[in-house]
Order: sequence, then structure tokens, then C-alpha cells
Amino acid sequence: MPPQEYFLNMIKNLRQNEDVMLYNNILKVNEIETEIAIEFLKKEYQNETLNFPFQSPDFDKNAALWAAKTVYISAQLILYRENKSEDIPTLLPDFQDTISPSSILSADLCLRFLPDMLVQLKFFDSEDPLVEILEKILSQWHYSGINSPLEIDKLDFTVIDSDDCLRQLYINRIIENKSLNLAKLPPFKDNILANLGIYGKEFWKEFSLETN
Amino acid sequence: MAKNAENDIKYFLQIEKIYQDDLANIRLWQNLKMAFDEDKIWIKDFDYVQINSLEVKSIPYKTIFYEKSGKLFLQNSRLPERNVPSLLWASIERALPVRLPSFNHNYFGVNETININIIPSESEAEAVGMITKITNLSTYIQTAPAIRLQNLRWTILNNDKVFIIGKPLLPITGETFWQRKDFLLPTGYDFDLHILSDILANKLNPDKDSFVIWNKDNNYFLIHRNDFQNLSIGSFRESVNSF
Repeated sequence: MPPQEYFLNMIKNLRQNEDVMLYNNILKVNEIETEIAIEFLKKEYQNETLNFPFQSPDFDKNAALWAAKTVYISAQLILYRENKSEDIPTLLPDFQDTISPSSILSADLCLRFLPDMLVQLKFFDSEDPLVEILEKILSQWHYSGINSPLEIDKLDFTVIDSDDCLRQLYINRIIENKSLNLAKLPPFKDNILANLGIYGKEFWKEFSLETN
Repeated sequence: MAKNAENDIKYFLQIEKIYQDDLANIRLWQNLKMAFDEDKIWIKDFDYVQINSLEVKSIPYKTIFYEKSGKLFLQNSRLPERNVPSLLWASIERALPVRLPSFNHNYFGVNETININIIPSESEAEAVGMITKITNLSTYIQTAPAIRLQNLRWTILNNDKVFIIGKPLLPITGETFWQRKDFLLPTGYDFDLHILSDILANKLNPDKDSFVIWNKDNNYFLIHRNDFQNLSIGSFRESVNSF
């Protein structure tokens, strides 16, 4: 295997087999690999939009790449820690553009694996400074973190609520994970009630008990 | 209140044993006792109403007696005919057991057929299947929440209709079906002869790998279980785009 494809292979493996596989401790990602990875993620995104309700937002390559790199470097930091704690924020930069429905859904291609990685990390060392950084990312990109314990007061729902497609996908994930705390929030409650219709008791008993 | 003296008179009935079958109508009067005396049958304890009833009057070749102080008098006679016979009395139900007619082994009836029909039914059940137009499904599914699709499976019929199975069904218009074992019948209908449904299921669907779908005009068609796909927005878009 050519050495320049560590990042690409990790992302492909993550998307196709849902495994994290690292080939070496290399935190750098080269340009050629980046281009191929964006093409790959774009194809994956287009496959997923087939299943999106309403009008799907366009692919945001910056967000998708940023999320892929974040997941790659987080995995590296969890498994091979050679860097000092102070270096971690520079290795995991924040997303530079504004967050839009497109960027949320494109970043979710890779960020959705972050909650499971966080569970592993906490299992190794719950005091690790990386924990805080990953939790911060998830609270900013909370569509990818619905299945992890979120501090609901700190979340911003304006972007979610601005797009029909994203709102419906968000609600699908709330129902799938039975996140009662999120479900009771004003942007979602009425929509979830409408989604469940008269079958609320069969689909989600706790929620229909809470709302009655 | 004074007793009706006539009710105290007990009547006896005597009949040749060969006419035993004619007693069938009075077998259900449980107060009667019956005994066999060689080739004769004796039945006692009739009251006045019973002995004058149509059931008794319609028994042929009988002799009726009434009893007074140990003697038997013929009906409408004042001369004693004989003593009360001393026999082993049993209740008429036990003495006349019910016999079923024996099976006719020479009757085959191979050429007989019956029609299987479905008729409106009184009992209600939840609908689990639906035939609807692709266009109807299309308008709903583009904005459908995942939770409403996850229990459903679907297949395409004749290029313009779809069959959806599972519950709860989608809130769209279409013909609905409910399930009777492997049969899907139009809602509100059941088999005329529903006792035959197991036999019918074995004949129409011997491997139990299909659903048998009935139309209201008594036609049916089969859909193999493997022909159904999980219903999702992606599955719908890909199938419809491939047309």
C-alpha cells in the first residue's frame, strides 16, 4: 500500500465497515489524498441523499473534509498518544465557515462515529483533555451526537429548524434513539407528535405518556 | 291447591322391539323409564299430557295401558288386562342410545366442486396490506418520517401500482387488506366457507413462501415473500427512477 493513503483508507474503512483502522501514527494528510477523499465522501453523501426527505441540501466539501480529518486525528490521538496535551487544540482546529444545513449533513458522514469513539476514550481515561474537546465538537455538531449525552441547554437549534430536510432527519434520529429530552423541546415536539400520529403509543410509549 | 287427580295416573306404553326407532321423538322426555321384555319394549311413567301428545299419538303399532293398584288396564277400558310387569327399568336416554348412520363407502362424490367466495364479514381486524398508485405513495414518501416507514415492506405491481404490507399503514388512499393466515383479503371481507381456509392455503401456497391476495371479485394472485423490499425513501426513489 502506498504510504500516502493512510487517511483515505481509514475514512473508507470507517464508512464501509464502520471500523476504525489505523495504519501508522501519521497525523499529516497530503493533498492528493484529500482530493480523492472529497470525491469519495461526495459519492457517499449522494447515496445518502437518496434517503433524505424533502429537498436535500448540497454537499459541503469543506465540512465533510474537516469532519473526516477531525475523526482521523481523534482516532490517532486515542490510540497512539505521542503529542503533549497542549498540542491537541492545534491538531483539531475548529470549523472555519458558518454552519449551514449542508455542512451539518456533510460533516455527519464522519462525525456520526465520534460518539462511539468518545465512549472508548472515556473507557481508557475519562480525565483526558481530549474528552472535553470532542464533547465541545459534538455539542456544536449535535446532529451527529444525538445518541450521546448532550447538554441540551447549550445547543443551538436555529440552523436545524431552518431546513425541512434537516429538521425531519433530526427528528428521525431523535425517535430512533428515543432521546426524550430532545423530543420535548419546542422545535421538535409538535413535529414528532405529527409524525407519530395516532400510533404514538406503539412507536414510542414514553413520549406519548409525557405529552399526554 | 288440590291436586289434579288425572295427573296421578301413570300410563304405560308397549311396542314391538322392531319398531324401536319410532320412539326417537319421545327419547328426550327424561321422566320416562324403559325396559325390554323379550321382543317387546315397555315404557312407563307417562303423564296424561304426554300420553295424549302428538309425539305419542304418531307412534304406530303401540298399546297404551294405565295403571291402577298394580294392575294394567287398556286405555279406555275398565277391565284389568294384566299385572304390571316386573322388569329392570332404565332411563329412556340410556336404553335408547343415539346411533350415527354408518359411513357410505360406495359414495365418492369425486365430481362435486364447491365455489370459494369471499363475503362481507362482521368481525373487524386491523388492515395490514394496501394497494395504491405509485403517484399517491410518491407524494407522501418524499416528506415521510422514517418511523412511519420502518415497519413496512413494499413491491411494485403492473408498473403503476404498489403493494405495501406491514402496520401501521401509511395515511394515503388505496385499497386495504387484512390478513387471515397467509391470505390477504379486502378489508371487510372473509371467506364464505372459512373452515376451508387451511386446505385452501395448502393448495394455493404449498410452500408457504407467498402471500395470497384476494380481490373482491374472488380472483387471487400470489406475491412471493422475497419480492418485498423494505420501504424507505431511497428504495422508492431508486425503484421509480429505474423505470
